[in-house]
Amino acid sequence: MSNQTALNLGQVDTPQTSIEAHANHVIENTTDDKVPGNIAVWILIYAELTEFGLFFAIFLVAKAANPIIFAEGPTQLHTSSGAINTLILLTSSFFVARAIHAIKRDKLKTCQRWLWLTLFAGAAYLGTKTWEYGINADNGIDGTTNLFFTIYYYLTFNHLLHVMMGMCTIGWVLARSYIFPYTKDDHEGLESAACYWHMVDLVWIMIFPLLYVLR
Amino acid sequence: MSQDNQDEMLSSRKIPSFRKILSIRKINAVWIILITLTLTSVFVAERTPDAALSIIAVCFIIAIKGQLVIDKLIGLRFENQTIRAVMLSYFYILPVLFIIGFLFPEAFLVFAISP
Repeated sequence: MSNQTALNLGQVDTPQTSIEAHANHVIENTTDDKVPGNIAVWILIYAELTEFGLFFAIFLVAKAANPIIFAEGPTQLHTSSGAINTLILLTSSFFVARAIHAIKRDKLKTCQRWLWLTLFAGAAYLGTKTWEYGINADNGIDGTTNLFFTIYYYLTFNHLLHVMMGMCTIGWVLARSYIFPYTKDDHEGLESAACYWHMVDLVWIMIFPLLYVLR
Repeated sequence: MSQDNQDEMLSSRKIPSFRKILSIRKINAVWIILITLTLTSVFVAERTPDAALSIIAVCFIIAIKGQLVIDKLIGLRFENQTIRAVMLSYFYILPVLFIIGFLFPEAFLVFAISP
């Protein structure tokens, strides 16, 4: 059978054989148009990034209008805890990437171990953030101190809620993997959860320098 | 359709056996690079006397870190290129806005509401 004949098979009005259907399915999933996870999670990710993007813009406008407050604000923050949280979130993204790598090799147990480590990293983030808020409270800093800290608390607490949401999602796919095990051919839900977790990390990559590092 | 024809049809389409994925060694290397870049950005911001230079360097590092996570950890380099382009543009546009906002803050004053 020539190549041309083979490529025209899908256009003939005859029922597809199972081998043809399989071939079409494989081709669809091997092109550069494949969406990691599913398209719904990417719409959610774009919505979340837009929300944070708007708040970054608000930060820059407020900074332009209140230069002294925004120059002094970062000096009162605990930069070490921000840096530690950055390292934790980058490491958690690494754990998730390793989990996805493992499931693509059909290694479910290894995948589950990396997902557990991701959850521990998320818990470490929450602990560090609680410690940081405690230090702020001891120094008499809260959301009403000035405009810088209002935006600081809004951004970091909003991000913290997203971390908690990501932990719930990772926890769900982890629990599901014990009941209905993922395979290398069927792990769309796991990949969606992983993409959401990476988004949480990506947002923090922006927040950390904006609030703690840049003066 | 004979088995020979089916095999020929599959091979003529050059179907790979599975999607491209990064090796474990490369994922590990990306993680080490990300950690190094984070520590470098803190060091640069704290130690560089020239504020403008440190702001540009830190924003450049943000863009690199974003691209590494998007391309390597999420793996979008091998996947849907439209989704990848949108994600990468976010990490190219926002750092530029940060540079403008920190070096030329008056550019954002036009959006400020006077009391």
